[in-house]
Amino acid sequence: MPTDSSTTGAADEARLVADLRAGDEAAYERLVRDYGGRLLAVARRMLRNEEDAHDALQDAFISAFKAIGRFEGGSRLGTWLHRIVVNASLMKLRSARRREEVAIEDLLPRYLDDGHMLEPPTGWSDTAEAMAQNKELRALVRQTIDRLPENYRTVLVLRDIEGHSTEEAAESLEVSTGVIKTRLHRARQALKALLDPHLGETA
Amino acid sequence: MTDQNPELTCQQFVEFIRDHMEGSLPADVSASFKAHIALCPPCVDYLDALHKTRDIAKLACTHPDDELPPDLPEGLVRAVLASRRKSS
Ligand SMILES: [Zn+2]
Repeated sequence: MPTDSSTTGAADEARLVADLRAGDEAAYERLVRDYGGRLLAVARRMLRNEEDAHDALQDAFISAFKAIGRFEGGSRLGTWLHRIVVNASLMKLRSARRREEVAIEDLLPRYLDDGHMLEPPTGWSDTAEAMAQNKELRALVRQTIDRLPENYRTVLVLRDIEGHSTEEAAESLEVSTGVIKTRLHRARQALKALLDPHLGETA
Repeated sequence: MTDQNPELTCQQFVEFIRDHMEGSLPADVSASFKAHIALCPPCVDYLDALHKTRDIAKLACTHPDDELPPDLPEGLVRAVLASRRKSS
């Protein structure tokens, strides 16, 4: 069934893994060429710096080469490699230089003693999603995500962009699921506040 | 049974958005959360904008027109393969 790429992929994958375990040099090159592009895209999203993304990809492949003997056929090779490049990117982030970050507390709603909001929140118009068709606006959103404090940005990227579950993110970052949920909520709140001037109803 | 659903303040409502968007709102809060939506337009605006924030973040970071070509720089392929030979 040539239309079902996942079926043919599984057989190809099993062969590739067997060749890798046998130490076949050509198989290593194939692994890098077949999966490297997609993995580099993940590292770029996480690191936002081309040089760091290259380093993370290289670290990820070195880890993968060493661990290929432990790869369980039960999961897809792509999923397994995705995990490894995310972890390599997280390692890189921990050692990365500080960027200029906003203070998250300044971006959360403020409340009166009775629990009402101090100021009514800015609503977003229904055209907000359509505006994502605009290339400049997308670039602005990415730059704004980059200004979030690293702990928050990382959770937002893993959960909302890479599509990891709360449990997976908690495991990667070695924190509780409650911490992941709260950081994600705060990250979205802060991002909303930063984007209000561009996407808010009065914008 | 609404008298058994304590009213949420806006602050409490906004904090419960965390669980609501995870799909894990505690069962005993669900009715109060819905009641607040029915009576508080500003909080509805806020909830709606947070959903849009999540969707726009994803669109902005994964839009196909913005992706660099998926081809790996050849130098990087060489570097990866060279580092394998070194480390094995
Ligand atoms: Zn309210």
